[in-house]
Amino acid sequence: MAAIAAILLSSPEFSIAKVFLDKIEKEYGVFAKRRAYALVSMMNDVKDADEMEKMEKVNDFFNQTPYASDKETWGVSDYWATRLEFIGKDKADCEDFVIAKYFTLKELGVPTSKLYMTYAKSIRYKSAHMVLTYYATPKSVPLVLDNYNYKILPASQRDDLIPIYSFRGDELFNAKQAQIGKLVPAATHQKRPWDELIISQHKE
Amino acid sequence: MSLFKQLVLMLGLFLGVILVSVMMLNFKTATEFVQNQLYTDAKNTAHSLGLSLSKVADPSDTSTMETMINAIYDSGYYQRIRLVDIDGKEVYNRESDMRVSNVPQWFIKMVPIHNAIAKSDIMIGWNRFGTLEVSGHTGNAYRQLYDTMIDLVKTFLMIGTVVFVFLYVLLSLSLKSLKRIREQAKAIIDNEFIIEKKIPFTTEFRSVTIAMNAMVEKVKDIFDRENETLRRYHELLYKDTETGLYNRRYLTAKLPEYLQSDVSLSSGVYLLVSIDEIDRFKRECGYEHYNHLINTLADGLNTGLSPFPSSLIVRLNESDFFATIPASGIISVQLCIESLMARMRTLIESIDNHLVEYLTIGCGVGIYSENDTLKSLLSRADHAVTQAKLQGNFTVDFNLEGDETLVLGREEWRSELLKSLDESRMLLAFQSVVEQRSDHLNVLHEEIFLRLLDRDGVIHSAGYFIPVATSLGLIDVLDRYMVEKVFKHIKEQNPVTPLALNLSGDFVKKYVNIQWLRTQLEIFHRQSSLILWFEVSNTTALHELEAVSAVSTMIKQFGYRFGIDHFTIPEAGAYYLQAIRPDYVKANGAYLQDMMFDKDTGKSRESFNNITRSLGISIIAINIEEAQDVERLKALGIDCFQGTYIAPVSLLQ
Repeated sequence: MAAIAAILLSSPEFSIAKVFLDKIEKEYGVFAKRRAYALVSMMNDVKDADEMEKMEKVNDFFNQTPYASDKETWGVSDYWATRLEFIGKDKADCEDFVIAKYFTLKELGVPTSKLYMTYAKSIRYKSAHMVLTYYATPKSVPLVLDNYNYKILPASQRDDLIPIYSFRGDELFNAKQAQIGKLVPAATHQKRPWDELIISQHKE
Repeated sequence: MSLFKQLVLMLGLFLGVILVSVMMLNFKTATEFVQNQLYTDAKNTAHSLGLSLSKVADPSDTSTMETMINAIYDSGYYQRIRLVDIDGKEVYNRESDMRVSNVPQWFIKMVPIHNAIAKSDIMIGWNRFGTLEVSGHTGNAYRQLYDTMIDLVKTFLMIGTVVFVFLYVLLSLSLKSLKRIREQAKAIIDNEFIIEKKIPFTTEFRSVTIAMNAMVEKVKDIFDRENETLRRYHELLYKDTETGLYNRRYLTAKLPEYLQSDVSLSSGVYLLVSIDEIDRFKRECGYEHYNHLINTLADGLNTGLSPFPSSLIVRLNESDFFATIPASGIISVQLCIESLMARMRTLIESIDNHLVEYLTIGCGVGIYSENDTLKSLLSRADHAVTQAKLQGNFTVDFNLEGDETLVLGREEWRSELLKSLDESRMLLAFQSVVEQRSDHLNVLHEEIFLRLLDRDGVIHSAGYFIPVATSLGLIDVLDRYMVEKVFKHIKEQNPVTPLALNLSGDFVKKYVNIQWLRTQLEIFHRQSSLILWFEVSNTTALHELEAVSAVSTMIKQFGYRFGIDHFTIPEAGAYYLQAIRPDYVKANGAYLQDMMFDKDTGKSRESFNNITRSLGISIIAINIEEAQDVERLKALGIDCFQGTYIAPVSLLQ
């Protein structure tokens, strides 16, 4: 009885299509396929957990990926990789971490109104940086999901970062879209598949 | 509606729909673009201003933020910039009504622009302060759009006009042949036969044109054949085989035209040359000499009288040659006839000196007038010839009786004629022309004649003064007078029977007269619905073919009828009928009987009918003097008559 109730109450299972997995393997290799699979199982693990735990797990999962500059990975000075490219390349810079974490949390049901992308200055590295911030309420001090400091800390404890400006996630992606697509500004007809790593959710 | 108009309409519609659709699509794209532009601009402002505000955000003192918002708001083109705090409470707001200059209100109503609000979050450090809302000014967008629309409309109107004109020209070029086909078809309906030489480029039109050409060719062929049959029959019937001159029968048929018509033929000079003992001459000197003699005489007459137009030379019998020379005086033919006599004498003497003892040639010359008949004329001529022969061989007897009307008093005549016009002594007379079908009798029209009332109160027929008027050059004055008088009569009396007016050759051949007549008819046509018939004589039709064709066309345009009076088929054939295309011909009853009563084959009747019918010409028999004329002609299929037996000429009251 309890098992049945658990199944009924639990969120739908995440999965990834076989065809898609094969495609990842073909394009990025067998390890990429495994990483994608690991992502799906991590998401399934936390699907019914609270927001805090979800953030911990997602932050930890992506922070396993080593940092590399866009120049190194993509050969251009600034490149916003999609989550698929993130998983595939297994290399990322700060925006890529933010994107991957943002969309994964979004899929896990964390409201996007609580998630902000914050441009900040890293005092330690003396460089422009971006982190994902989480506002439990509009007025509360945000939590910072960073790829330099793996631990999720309230912003008040992050003296090494000076916040510059925050955007709602979707807004920023649309703007970036305009730059990438070489489209007329604010055209919304064509989207870059930020979440092109299609992870579908269905009841078992 | 013609095909051309339909095509132009369709083309116009098609072009219009395409252009309007393209224009609307274009405008829609422009609207979307402008709307997106509006949003993007607002968003860019929201973020850059938001970033700047984040640097100075202070919940206790908003004055710096307000100043910054003012600076941006005043320097840009915004409808509203609003700052709300985290609780949704308004911190600062700048807003203006939408005022749009140079754009009509209907345009703003018709084109909705969705003015999306761009938002950005203001931060104090890590904390959120509030939200900045920016909306761009739609006025600018409306002005841009309106200008775009005006430009679009202008451009499309221009393109539309150019394309339409271009297509119109192309279409009219390719349908040009259709117009000609239509004209040809119309001509066929009017019994007019045009061969279209320019074969159209379009296949469908080409086959139609070729088919119609073939048909026209066939009909023309029939016409030619009938014409030829008739011409040959004519020759057989009316020509003297030995000399090629006309015979007595022809004179009988033709003389009424000379004596009775209102043209200048009704008076002039006649001459009769008579040879005694021609049979003995033939017997004694042989056929060759005989033939030479009569042909010399015939040629002499032909060449001698060739300067006189409308002169008619006939061989009455083996020994008698007769000629009428209209509108001439005795003096003008005297020289020619005397030299002919001298040549005859030389010829006869050269054959045999003794011949003159019995072979007597006499010539009588005199004046004929409209009062003559064939009988009276020939008996006078006979008398004159007898006188001449009594006076000696090769003598010419000049009978000057009645000559003074032509030779004397030209100036008196002129003033008398002009006076008679002034004093209204020129009267109108009419004669009814009827159509008789079984027991049904219908007046076709009344033919109008001019009559002169002289100072002594005597009424003279046209033959009395028309030849003089012709020689005085007053004939077109008389014709104009008649036309005006007839119109006046119609206006006053309002008759119901159509009237037929005769136009003289001198009138028709002057272009000014035709122009004048057209003007008169245009006025008349508007005022009266009475149908008018116009006639010219056969001689005029032959000699003034071009002018008569023009008059015929002009008269038919008014819906009036055009005819040829005293019709006989000339030697050249009936081709002139094709050019003139009369509605009717009036022919002497005797002539019609000759033509249609072909004892041997009946072919000439068929040919005559084919020719007239193929051109849609109806036949009116004139000079009907006896009941039996009517019976005979009816038996030949003619049912329109005119003549003293039908109705006499009477004065119009």
